Amino acid sequence: MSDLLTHALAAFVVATVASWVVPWLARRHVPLATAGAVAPDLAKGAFVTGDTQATVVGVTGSWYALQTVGVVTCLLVAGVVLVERAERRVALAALLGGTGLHVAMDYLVIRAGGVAPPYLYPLTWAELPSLDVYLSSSIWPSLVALPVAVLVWYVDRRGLAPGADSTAPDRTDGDRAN
Amino acid sequence: MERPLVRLLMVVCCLVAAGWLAVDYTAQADDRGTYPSDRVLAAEFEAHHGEHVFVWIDVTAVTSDGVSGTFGSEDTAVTVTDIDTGTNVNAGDELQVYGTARSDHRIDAERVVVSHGENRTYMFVASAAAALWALGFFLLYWRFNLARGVLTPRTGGGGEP
Repeated sequence: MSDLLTHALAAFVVATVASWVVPWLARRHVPLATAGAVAPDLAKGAFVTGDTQATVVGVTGSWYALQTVGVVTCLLVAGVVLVERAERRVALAALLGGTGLHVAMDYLVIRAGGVAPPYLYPLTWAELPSLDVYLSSSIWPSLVALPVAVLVWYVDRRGLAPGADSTAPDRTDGDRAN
Repeated sequence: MERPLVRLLMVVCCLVAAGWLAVDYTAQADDRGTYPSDRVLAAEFEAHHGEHVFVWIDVTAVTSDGVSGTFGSEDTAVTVTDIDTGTNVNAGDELQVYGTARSDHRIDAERVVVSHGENRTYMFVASAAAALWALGFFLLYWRFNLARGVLTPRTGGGGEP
C-alpha cells in the first residue's frame, strides 16, 4: 500500500473527473469512492495490535485478509445495504471503483521479493509481480497527489470542467443525478 | 419499501461472508505464499536453510557483521549479511530483505529495500489525517437517517454542499 493520503486523493481525483463525464455519477458520490479507497487499509489494524492475526470469539483471522478484494467487497456490500435504495447502484459502483483503484496502486509498491500479496483472493491466490514504482513510506506520491487534487477540486468548484456550466459554479446535484 | 429485518439480514450475511473469507485466507495463506511466512519462518528458521526468503525487518543495529533486527509478531532476531556497503540503513529503519536463509538466523541478502524511520512516521501521520479527511468528506455529503435507518445524501432540494 502507499500511504492512505495518496490513496484517498487519487480516488478523489479520479471520481471527480469521472463525475464530469459520467452522467449518473454526481458530486455526492465522490466521497463514496474515497471511502472505497480507504477500506482496504483496515488491514493497517495489524500495526495497532502488533500482530498480523487477531482472534475474535475463538476464531482467528488475518488482518491482511481485509486488503483482499473478496473481503472488502463483502464489507462494501454490507455498507451499501445501509444506503438509501435509489442510491445503491451508484454507491456500490463508486465504492468498488475506489477499492479497485487502491488495489491497482498497491501493485505499484516496491517489494524486495518481487511479488505483491494475493490481493485478488478469492479470485486467485496468484501473487502478481510488483511494479516497483514507490514505497509505502515514500513521501513523493502524496506530494504529487495533493496539488493534483487541489487543481481538480478548483476546476470542479469553479465549473471549469469540460461540459460544465461555467456560469453556475455551485452546480447542483440534479444536473448529474441518476 | 424494504423491511428493516430484511436489510439487517443482508448486512449480517455480508459480514458472515467477509468473516468466512478472512478465516479461510488465514488458514491457507502460509501454504500459498511464494516465500515462507513470518510466522512459519519464526517457528522453524533452521528448517529453511538454503531457501529464498522475504521478510520485513525492524532494524535494531548496524554493525560490521551486518544488519541486526527482528521480524514477526514474536520479534524473532535475525542478522542480514551481504548488504551493499553503500546502503543507507540505520537503527529504527524498516528493511525489506530478499535473500537466502542460513541456519544461524542469518539471511544472505540478494536485495534489500530501506524504509527510513522518518518516512514511516510521515506515512502514519498522513494516513491518519487522510482517514479523518475521508470521514469528514463523507459526512459532508451524507447523513444517517435514524428514523428510516438509511444513509441519505444531504442534497435537500437538489443543491450540494
